[in-house]
Amino acid sequence: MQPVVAPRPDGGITMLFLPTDLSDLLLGLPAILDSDDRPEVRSRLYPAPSDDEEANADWERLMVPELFALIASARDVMARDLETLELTRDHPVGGRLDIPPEHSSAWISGLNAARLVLGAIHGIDADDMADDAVFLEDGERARAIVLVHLLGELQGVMIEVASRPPYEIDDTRYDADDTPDEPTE
Amino acid sequence: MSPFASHAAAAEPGVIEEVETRTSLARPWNVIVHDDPITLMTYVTMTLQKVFGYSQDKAHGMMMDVHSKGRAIVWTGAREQAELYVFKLHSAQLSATLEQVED
Repeated sequence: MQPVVAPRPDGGITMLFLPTDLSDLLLGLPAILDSDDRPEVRSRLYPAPSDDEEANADWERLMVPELFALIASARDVMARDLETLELTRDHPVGGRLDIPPEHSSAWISGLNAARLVLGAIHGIDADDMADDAVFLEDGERARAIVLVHLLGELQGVMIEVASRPPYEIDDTRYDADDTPDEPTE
Repeated sequence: MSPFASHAAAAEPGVIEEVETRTSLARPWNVIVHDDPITLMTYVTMTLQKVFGYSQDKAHGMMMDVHSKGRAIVWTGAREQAELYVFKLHSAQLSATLEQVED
């Protein structure tokens, strides 16, 4: 059965029929975000805001802890939603992941952060991202690039769903003639 | 003097300090977003709309500037507000800096 990413009318997302390898990639997202204390990752996720060394030192001291907490918060939201997938990972029809609309922002941001973490760790650049040959390659770096693309697909769907106007119920299907008859004695 | 330190610590009163403050207030600051090969273009557009309240068209145009030129000025104004915007952009993991407009 093919995996399905289904936008929900309430603005959330449901993913169905996830094979175990895809489930495992998604279940690994919190661990990817836990890598944000590596120097190459820190310099990408928490870059210096100017060329003023003194200002940058103050930024590091005052602002970076807050930025760090924001990513940790998104990570926690994702980890909670992934509990359902963990439970359904080995189901015969595949795993299921439900992302409610109120978690959408955390997922969009967390997916972006996870892609940047992978990019920083593996030194992924624009040429890597444009090279389709990577899908035929093996190795840790090639797998990381494929994962960046995969997570980008999911992030793109979530952005599209989040950008849609609120779902409206089409009540023109009902008219007075559809009103149930009064019960007869 | 560091802009962030200026909010937290009182400077020694003095003529030189006052002159520096006047000078820094005289010129506005640019908020600049830098290109990133990994971040989705739609994410950049969405973030610019959220942070600055720009229309979809304006945010998309700025995103295309970032993509094609490597960087783009997305806002210009007072330093404190510029710092706040850079913080919001960093919160969304966009690569953003601020620099003072040249004379």
